[in-house]
Amino acid sequence: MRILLIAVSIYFALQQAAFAHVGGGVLGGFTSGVAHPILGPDHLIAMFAVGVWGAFLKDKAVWVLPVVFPVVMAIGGVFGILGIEIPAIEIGIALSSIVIGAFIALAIKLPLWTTGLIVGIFAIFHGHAHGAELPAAANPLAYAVGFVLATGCLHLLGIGFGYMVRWPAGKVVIRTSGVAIALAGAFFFVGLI
Amino acid sequence: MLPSRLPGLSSLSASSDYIKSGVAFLVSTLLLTTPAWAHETHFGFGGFYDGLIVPFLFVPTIISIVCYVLVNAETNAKNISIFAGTLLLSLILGLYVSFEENAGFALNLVILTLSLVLVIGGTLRGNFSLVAGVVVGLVNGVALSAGHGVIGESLLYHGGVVVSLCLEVAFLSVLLTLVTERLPVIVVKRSRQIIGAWAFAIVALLIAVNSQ
Repeated sequence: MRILLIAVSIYFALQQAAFAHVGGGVLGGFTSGVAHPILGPDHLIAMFAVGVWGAFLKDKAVWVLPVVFPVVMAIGGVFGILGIEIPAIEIGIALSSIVIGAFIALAIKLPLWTTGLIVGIFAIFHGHAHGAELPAAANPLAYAVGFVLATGCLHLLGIGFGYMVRWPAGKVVIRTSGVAIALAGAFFFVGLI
Repeated sequence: MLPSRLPGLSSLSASSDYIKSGVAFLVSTLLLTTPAWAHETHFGFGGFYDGLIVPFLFVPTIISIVCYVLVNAETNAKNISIFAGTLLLSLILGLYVSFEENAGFALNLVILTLSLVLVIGGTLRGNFSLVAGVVVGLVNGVALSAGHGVIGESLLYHGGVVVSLCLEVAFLSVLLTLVTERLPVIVVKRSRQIIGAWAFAIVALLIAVNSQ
């Protein structure tokens, strides 16, 4: 099994050159859609943070946040596609990391509906950023599938990481990661000013 | 032996008459359309194997089938028979009436509705389940038939589509039952909601892009 994993890792490591065929930016399809949230650190950190926050709050939040985010993100995406302007998109995206990171770091537990509302508001900004680029994609459907799946996987990754909260030492790690998330958000925010 | 936790699968083995009649119907359809095998030599011009493949190349169809299986609390032989019958009829209907403009939009709206039902944690039973099968079969049949020109003339192609989609529904239902047997109910329930949210997001964006 170990040999198989090593062989597969080597195989994928050697395939880097093939990415040249994918096409850069939003010109591609599925791969570009997957790459957009993953290669954009502001999106990556915020989506990961949503999963961590859900796991940190436990109970229903673990499931509600990853359901609320894509649904509201789609609404923001539709606004972006239709050209409906939302002010300060990038600032909203940076704020999402700051706010969620701060809630995790300070271990603030809000009611479920408030948590969902906060995540939903930030999801609109992320969705708008994705949606505005979507019509330019060579294959909008594949691009949409790619970024929705990548977003969902980042949430699941965050939930997996956030489950460390079950252990006392893990709780410290999670709260420290909250500080790191908030600082990253502040870095993005400062970069915009 | 398949687990019989879902009522659907236990009745699948019990009511084998539906399966027998369905198989007989498909075999007779295929035999009666033997001349259409001539199309098989050109990929993309219809034929049984093209019919088998096409539903897997059409992303909205895949999403609609996944949503249908997840939202359906009762997947049994009766449901699959009605789904297959509606699908075949709508494929044939697509030969005579051009729905090319609206077929994709209708399919997307159906997915949007099913995904919303999934997001709120709902399931369909009884007559609602049958209606869902009819609607999903209808929109998929029309969407897969519309605008295919020469492909649309081949009944063998349509037979392939029906077999492919019915096998897809049956396979996913069995898979769902096996997963349901092994995972806690709450995990299965919440996973369905998350998949529904993903489907909603993809299709909402697709509708918006197509409206541009």
